[in-house]
Amino acid sequence: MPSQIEVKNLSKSFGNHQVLKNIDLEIPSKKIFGIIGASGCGKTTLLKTIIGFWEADSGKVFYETRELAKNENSIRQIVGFATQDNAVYPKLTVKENLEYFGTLANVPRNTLKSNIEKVIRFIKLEDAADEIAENLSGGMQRRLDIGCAIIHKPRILILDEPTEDLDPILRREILSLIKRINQDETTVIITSHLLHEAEQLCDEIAILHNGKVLRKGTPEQLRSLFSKDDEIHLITLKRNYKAIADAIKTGAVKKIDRYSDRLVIRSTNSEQTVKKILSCLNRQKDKIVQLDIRKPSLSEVFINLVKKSGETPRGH
Amino acid sequence: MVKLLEVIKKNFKILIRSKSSALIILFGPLLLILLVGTAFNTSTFSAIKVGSYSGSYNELSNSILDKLSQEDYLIFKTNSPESCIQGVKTGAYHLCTIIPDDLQVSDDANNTIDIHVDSSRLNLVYAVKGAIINSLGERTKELSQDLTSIVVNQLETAKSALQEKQGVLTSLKNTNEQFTSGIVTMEQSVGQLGDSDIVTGELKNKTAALKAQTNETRAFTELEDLISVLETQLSAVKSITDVIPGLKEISIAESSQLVDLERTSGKLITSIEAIKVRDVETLVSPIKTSTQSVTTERTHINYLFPTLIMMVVMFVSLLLSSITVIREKISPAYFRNCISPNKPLLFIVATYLTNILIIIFQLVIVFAVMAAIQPEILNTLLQVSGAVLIITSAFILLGMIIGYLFNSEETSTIGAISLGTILLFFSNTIIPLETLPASIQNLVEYNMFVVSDSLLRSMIIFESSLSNNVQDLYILLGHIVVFIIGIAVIYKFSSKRFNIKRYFHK
Repeated sequence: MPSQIEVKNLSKSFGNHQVLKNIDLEIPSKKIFGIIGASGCGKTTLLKTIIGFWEADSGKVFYETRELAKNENSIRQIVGFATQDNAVYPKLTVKENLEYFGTLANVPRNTLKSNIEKVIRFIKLEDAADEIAENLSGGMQRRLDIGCAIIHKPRILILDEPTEDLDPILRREILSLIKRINQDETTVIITSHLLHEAEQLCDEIAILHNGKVLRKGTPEQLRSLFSKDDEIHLITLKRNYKAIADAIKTGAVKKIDRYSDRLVIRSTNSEQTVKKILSCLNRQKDKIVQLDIRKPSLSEVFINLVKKSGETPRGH
Repeated sequence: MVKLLEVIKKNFKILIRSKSSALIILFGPLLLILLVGTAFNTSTFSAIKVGSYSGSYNELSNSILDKLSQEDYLIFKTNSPESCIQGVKTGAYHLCTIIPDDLQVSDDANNTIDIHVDSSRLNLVYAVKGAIINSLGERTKELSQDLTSIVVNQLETAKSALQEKQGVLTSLKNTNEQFTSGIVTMEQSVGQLGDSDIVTGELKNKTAALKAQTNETRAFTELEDLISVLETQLSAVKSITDVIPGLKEISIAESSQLVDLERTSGKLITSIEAIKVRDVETLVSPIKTSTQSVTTERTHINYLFPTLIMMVVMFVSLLLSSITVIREKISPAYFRNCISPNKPLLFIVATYLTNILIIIFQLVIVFAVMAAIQPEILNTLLQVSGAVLIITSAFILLGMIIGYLFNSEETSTIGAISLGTILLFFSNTIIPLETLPASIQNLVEYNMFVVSDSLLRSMIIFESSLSNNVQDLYILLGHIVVFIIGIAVIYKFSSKRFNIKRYFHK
């Protein structure tokens, strides 16, 4: 798959603090690309550097083979950017914000009006089109911010922690909006420290830690890269987990964690382990309430990768 | 152009939708002109409080205080000189006059009035001191006129009396001359009598000889009696002849004194007549001073108008432009502007145009009100507008630099006010520039406020044209060029520096 954005050996420092360290990334076209990492790991700096807001200390960024440093204005024409701060004017209405940013993004006057209407519909703010932005709810403001970022129909949309500070319902709304934008063949680059969210949304993910990309790939690839083990999540009726743990602790089982309502077993051979569990339950005349076999979550991958890197996340 | 208009439109909407900003923009200048207009629409001082102390007021001292009262000074009599002076220190009185007890106009009396002022009130002290000395001077002049008129009148009376007696003196002199002449004639006549004894002797001898020749005794006896009478009378005449030289000498001396007196009297009259200035007013004030204003007589507001305009332009430009820039900078939307496919110049120009349009709107209000007060301002309105545009541009650009340099609205506002205050302080508005050391004066001549104020004064008060003020214009244009370069440099760095701070605060 051809990469739409290519980041080569990108480094950025603020004073003595090096925030980005020789970043290499290839972001595929028309996909949702996630950059995940702990707070302060350099996600926002990376995005602001690849849009050219910050000048890189070294390295280059290419958009569709064009170098950013040499084609800044034309590249910004094809990129939309939504920040985590809602980069809109609070005293302007929804329509006025869209009109203003549309004009700045060189949207022709004759198409601007129809673009505004489409975007308003798209971000579902029809009823609030003439509302002053500061009177909108948090979710509506976030949608307006995204609307301002897509008013000029960019081919690439960069979203910096778009679900930050939102409640679960609003978060779901925004994620759905992002998916719809992507369905419109827009490449979406998204940062988040909410790993399960990225896992659900992104086609590809780069794990950023202390200014370095630790790993990159699809969520599945990342999970597999880290471990071929399975996780067995078991809930039984009698919850006599000690007996089960005693019965399976040898062989393929690498780790057993007991939680209040469930048993989590890490196994290199889940089929064999499940058989042992069933046998044990049969002996004890217990019944299964829930049994899941899954790969380790991205969170676990992330935590293990960070541990492996030996560096404490900045700000932790 | 469309983008520029869109940014300006956006700036206006944001400004107007912020109620406090809108109020300040619309009503700020109106309020200012109303307050200043009401306060300064006079040509005199008013409610100047004068403390006064005298151990014993008399008619003269009271008349001086009455004179001050008539000129709208508020007089406060104090119980002691200390409380009077203390009143000046505490600001209860603008000045204190200590009048000697029983003030009198005489050679040996103490008639010095001490005036105590608070020299720290630089802007007021000279004006008030001058005004009160003028008022006291007027009373002193009145007294002086009274005294001088007495002297002049006495002189006139003496001259008239002398002139009147000049005829008597001449008559006396003539009489004396006749008298002298009579004495001389008498002396000569008496002299011609010769030796009377010889004559009478001969007469006696002849008589005796004739008597001897005749017997007519009786006739000769009568003749001898007559000779005897003649002898007696001649003897009397002879005795007068002895007095005549004395009388003649006295008469000549008297005549000489009379001539001398006449000459002295004539000289006195001539001397009195030779006094050219006999007018009391002229004698009291031999040299009159009259201050002629090079402008037509107006109220304070007319003279203050250029400075008022400058104050509005300077503070509004500095504050408004710095706040516009800083509000834009701290707005989350600022980042989106920065990453839009536009050059920073668009936003700089838009900010400048927004500010200048607002200030022009405010100045239109101020000028409209001023035109109602002083219609002649309309004669130079076009030229003045050109000057104001250049001045406003310079201050807006300076305000924008402040906005780009600072990182919060508070610090930016403090920065703008501080800068405005410094520019104002080092101008003629508070204290005359001439009070500053020469080296600082040279520097202050380039102070934008001083240059602009001088330009506007020249154009508004003296109705001179822009072409007559080329030097001021060049200085302002020089400032503008420097500020534009400054903004270009600072814009790039300040925006990034500011965001670095935000980055680390997160």
